[in-house]
Amino acid sequence: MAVNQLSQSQTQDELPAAESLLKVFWRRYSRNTMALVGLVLVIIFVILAIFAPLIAPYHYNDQNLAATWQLPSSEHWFGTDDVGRDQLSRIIYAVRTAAIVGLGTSILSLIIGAAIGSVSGMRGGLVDTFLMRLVEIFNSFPSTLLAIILATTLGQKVTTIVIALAITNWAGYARLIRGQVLSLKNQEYVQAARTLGASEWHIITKYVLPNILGPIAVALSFGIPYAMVAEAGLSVIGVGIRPPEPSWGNLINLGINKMRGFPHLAVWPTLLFSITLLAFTWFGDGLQEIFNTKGER
Amino acid sequence: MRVNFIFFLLKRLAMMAVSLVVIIAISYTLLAKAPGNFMDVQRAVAAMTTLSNSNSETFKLQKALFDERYGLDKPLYMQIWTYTKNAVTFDFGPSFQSPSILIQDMVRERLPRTLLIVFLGIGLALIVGIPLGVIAGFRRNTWVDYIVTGFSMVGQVVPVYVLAIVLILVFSGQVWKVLPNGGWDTPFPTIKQLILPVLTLALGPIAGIARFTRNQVAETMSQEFIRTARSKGISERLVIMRHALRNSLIPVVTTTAPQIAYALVGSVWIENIFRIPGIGQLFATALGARDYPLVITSTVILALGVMLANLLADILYSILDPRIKLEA
Repeated sequence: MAVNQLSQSQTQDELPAAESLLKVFWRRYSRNTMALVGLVLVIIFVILAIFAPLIAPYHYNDQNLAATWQLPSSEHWFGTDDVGRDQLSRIIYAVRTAAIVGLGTSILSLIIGAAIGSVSGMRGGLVDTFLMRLVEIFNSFPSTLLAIILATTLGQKVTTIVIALAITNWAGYARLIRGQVLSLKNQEYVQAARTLGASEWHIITKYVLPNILGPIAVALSFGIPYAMVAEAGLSVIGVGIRPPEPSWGNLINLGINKMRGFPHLAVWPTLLFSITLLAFTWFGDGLQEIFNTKGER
Repeated sequence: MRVNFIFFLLKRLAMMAVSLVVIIAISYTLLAKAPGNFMDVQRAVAAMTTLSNSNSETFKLQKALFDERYGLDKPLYMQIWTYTKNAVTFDFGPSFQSPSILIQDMVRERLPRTLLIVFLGIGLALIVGIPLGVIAGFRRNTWVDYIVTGFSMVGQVVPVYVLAIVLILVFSGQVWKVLPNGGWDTPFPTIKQLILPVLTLALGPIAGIARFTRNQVAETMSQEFIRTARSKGISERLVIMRHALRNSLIPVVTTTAPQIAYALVGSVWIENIFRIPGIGQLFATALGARDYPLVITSTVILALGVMLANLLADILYSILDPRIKLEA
């Protein structure tokens, strides 16, 4: 042990001035070209979501019954829908909805997963066995089907959809965090803190959580596109976010129903939706390289 | 070994039974609490078609009869218990929508169609995905690899309903009008009617299997026994066929199970978009009509399929690779 520490401090002396953490992160991230493309697209996505009312040429619910089912024109770039609403504006607002659903779902399921996973990992024993069986049951079950049923019960609003998706989606986070907690809890510095009388809460928040932020960030970045896919999937089955509030799901659903006469209504939402999903996946790949986690996807 | 195996099997089957009971209980409770029940939907339909008074005494009487008939007047836990008890013998009772037809008969009629597209899709995915992955793995960092990796990225990320739209637009409408976009009216479909749904279902699994195989092959090729084989002077063909492929293809079995699960769940969207009368369509239409016994049964059938696929993959894996020990 002592020898080990000695050699470590020696190599540190030999190194040139240490790079800042952010620089290291950026160097690792920018190695991956697609991650850079993803980052740019994610930034555009965030800007669209935040400034949707300023960017969109019309309000998402501005109806013009004299101009329904229009083909793309200079006035309406992506055409109009069944009640003459501007499709481009609806897509821009759908980005906002998707941001709320994606971020809301991943954060909420992370909170549930973190609570269950860390209790399970710290306590061990019967509590652990019980909670992990619960996780197993949730994992063995096709969660999308449960989400569909939950959405039927809770209702078809943005908030209820987020809750439905989070409830069906926390098991992966719980397993991830339990694993991390288990590997950390026997580390020397955690044991030292415990010997000094630190409370469990203190240990979790001050020692364990900061050390697992990397894997959590990666899991979150893959959780966002997953939530978007699930939200849109609910709409295609008929239990997604209800119009007039625009979402990728109900735009795509309208596209599917009107594919024969008005293919542009299907083409643009699906194309832009797919690009969004790819962007978040590339972004997640980049984060994975930063933290060197070979996580499951 | 054999005793171990039986023990493993029993434990897994017990776990599956527990999961299924939990699933039934959760979905039953949720659906019972859902806004709008079957009779409400019927009443809404009746109010739209005829001008019957929906608050009439007749309707209340009808509803009471309906509740009694399906046991809906009993407490919730009794309903769940009765359903679960009967489900063990594959007796799911009649559906709300068509009281004269038993649900198990509907399942018997529709399940083969769902299984047909799922297994054709997975078969296609294995036939196409494995060679793609092998080629990409052996030619790492060449343009072949980049194309395969790029394709599998897209195929894994893009959801099945988007793939369906793209394929329909290309092959059944705007670009070429060569294939029908669904609608099976005969008990079993023609080849032409099968192509688009199966292709849609297969694209995701092709991508997943290709990506997994590629990584496996690439990892195997960097192992020491490959270097040993090469330095012994064995021809590259033999190195690949005898040493590399065998070791990298066994784990592919494990990735087939999640792909089957993906396809089974994906069938809900596929069948609705391509209008295929299978279990997935049953699930969605039953949900719309608030026909709860039907919703729960189709959920249970799909969940059972997913669980069996996982179990089968674990067993197959341990047979193919004797180093793997089965643990429940």
